[in-house]
Amino acid sequence: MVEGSHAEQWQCRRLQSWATICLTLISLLLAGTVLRVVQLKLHPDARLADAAGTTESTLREPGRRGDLLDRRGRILATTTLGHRAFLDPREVDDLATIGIELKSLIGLDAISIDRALARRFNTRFVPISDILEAWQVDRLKRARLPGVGLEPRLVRHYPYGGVAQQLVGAVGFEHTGLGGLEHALDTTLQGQDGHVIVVRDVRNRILWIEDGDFVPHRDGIDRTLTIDVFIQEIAEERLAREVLERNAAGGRLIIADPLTGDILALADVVNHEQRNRNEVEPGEAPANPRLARPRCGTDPYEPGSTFKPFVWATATEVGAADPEEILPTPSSQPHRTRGKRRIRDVHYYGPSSWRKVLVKSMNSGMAIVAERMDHRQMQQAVERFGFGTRTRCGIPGETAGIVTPPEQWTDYTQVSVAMGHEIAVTPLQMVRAFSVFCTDGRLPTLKILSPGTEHVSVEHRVIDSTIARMTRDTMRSVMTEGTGRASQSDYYQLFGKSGTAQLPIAEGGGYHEDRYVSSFIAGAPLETPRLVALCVIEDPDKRIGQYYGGRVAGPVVRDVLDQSLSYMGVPPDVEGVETMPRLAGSSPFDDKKR
Amino acid sequence: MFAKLMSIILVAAATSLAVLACRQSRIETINAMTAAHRNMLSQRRVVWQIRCQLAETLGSDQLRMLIAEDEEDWARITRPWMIVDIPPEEKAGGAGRG
Repeated sequence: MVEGSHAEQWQCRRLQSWATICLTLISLLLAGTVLRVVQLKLHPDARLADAAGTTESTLREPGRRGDLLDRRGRILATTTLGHRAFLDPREVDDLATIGIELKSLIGLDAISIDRALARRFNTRFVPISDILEAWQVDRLKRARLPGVGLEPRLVRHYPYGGVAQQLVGAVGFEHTGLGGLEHALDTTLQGQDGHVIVVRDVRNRILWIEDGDFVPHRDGIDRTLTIDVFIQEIAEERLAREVLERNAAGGRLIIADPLTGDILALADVVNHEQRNRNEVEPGEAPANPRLARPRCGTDPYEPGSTFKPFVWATATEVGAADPEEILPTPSSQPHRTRGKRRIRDVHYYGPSSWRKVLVKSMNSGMAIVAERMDHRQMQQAVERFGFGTRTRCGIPGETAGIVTPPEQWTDYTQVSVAMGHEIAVTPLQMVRAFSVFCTDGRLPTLKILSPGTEHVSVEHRVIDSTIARMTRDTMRSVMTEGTGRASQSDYYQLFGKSGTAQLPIAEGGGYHEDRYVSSFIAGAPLETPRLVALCVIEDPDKRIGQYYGGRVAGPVVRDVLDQSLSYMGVPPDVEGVETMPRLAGSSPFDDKKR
Repeated sequence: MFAKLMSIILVAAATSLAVLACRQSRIETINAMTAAHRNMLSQRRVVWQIRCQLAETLGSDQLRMLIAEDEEDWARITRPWMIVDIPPEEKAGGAGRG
């Protein structure tokens, strides 16, 4: 029995030893396997790593370009994300038929695809379309064609189409500003792309993002303009109609709030179809009208008689003439200046008061009073009203106009400037200067961008408030008794001044005999002016009809002021009128008498 | 000895399972966060799109057509400039200018 028990014990110990050895081996094997897995996972052999491919991929997160908004937050320019299709020739199943397949699937041009493939056959990225429509993107995603991919791209939209297009400008393919405010404000509008590195599983599904692998995007900053889309549309529509009806070379129109300096509309029309009398071929339209320069700020023009109120106000203030003083203006012959220069008037009224000189736009009267002023007084008037200096309102490419420097200022210049000649101004400068009569003598700071933190508004007094008010009242008489009679409003008491200047010859100097720049500038209502509008019509066709500013540009100013003031809810100030100009309908001017 | 070995293995296995469970939970959380992030980005792009579509749909022409089609008379509210433009003299709280 003892021997048997020994044998059993020995057997048992032997089994235990073997079991221990086996378990140890199994444990070592398991530990080895775990270590190998860890090694393969963390530091795989180079050959294995190449075969396995990367488990990480980088996803781009585009930073959105800021919007351009009008003064009421309506979107003038915004950005969305679009897609364009591309091919990876190495992954495509059949390069010979991929074009036809894509044509039948989303309507792309098969021949263009084949050509694109032939050109860039050795690359792995061949763009084959522009930005696709949403349905095309959906179909392409569902089809899951090997080697066909979608590249996300930012797309700029202009929801109001061509409204304020020269001002807003455009962006290029890389979404950077090329023209207008898109270019001028590019730094603030431009967003910054971010990216995220994601770890994927074997089925290419996104697993997670490692610490530090997420760089957030930064969106661009929205910018609000002072433009009001509704007023801008009114201005563009009315101006375009006048330019076409008059077969004019072009036209410019600005509407501004004189109290705040906000530019509410800035329209610019170029009639490329106009067949100029001296040219065989009509002008060529630019490839992209959005890239045309905003001429209201860049191109100066000779203001003609619209400049007279500034000289009239200054001369009155310095005491060169009194409004009721009778001046020796001629009855039938041109006036002769001290330098024997002949000054013609359209009509000769005989001796007239200084007030009547402005109302009837008499060149002779302006010349007489200009000769009473010294050169310095006239130069200071020009300078104080802001001519010769940029308004710095934010419009790109703005110029300062042309003012004769003091050292070249002659008696001839003195008389010419009094009539609005020998000086070139931009429409922006004119509107800013005219606002002085609406603000009781203060020159406002014009702006196209709504004030931000960086905004500093500087106003300085140009003339005394009583003189400003007096000039305004006299310009009201221009509308009732003078050259603005054809432009009177049925609803608001406008005050303004017309101008008709001969068109300068582009080369060689001098003026065209029968080509003009017709302009009109006015404000309303009379007691508390809310708006100023300036219209400049360039080279209206004399064969079609009148070419005087009061007849051509005046009605445009009247119509846009009527519509804009009605839109702003300003009640009519013409006595007995209680209804406001109608705004509804496809065109606000359908029922407007002309 | 056997019992000790088994105990060690069992404890090690249990600990490993617990650690694995924690790791899996972390992966799932980060995965959910990543999915939420992606979803947020995609919704953000949808918002861009809708903003643009709204702006295009609410253009002046469309509004004018809507007003013209409506049989109801559109009446101007009493003080329209309250919603359009508050006159500067009222903003400043002073009297009107002369």
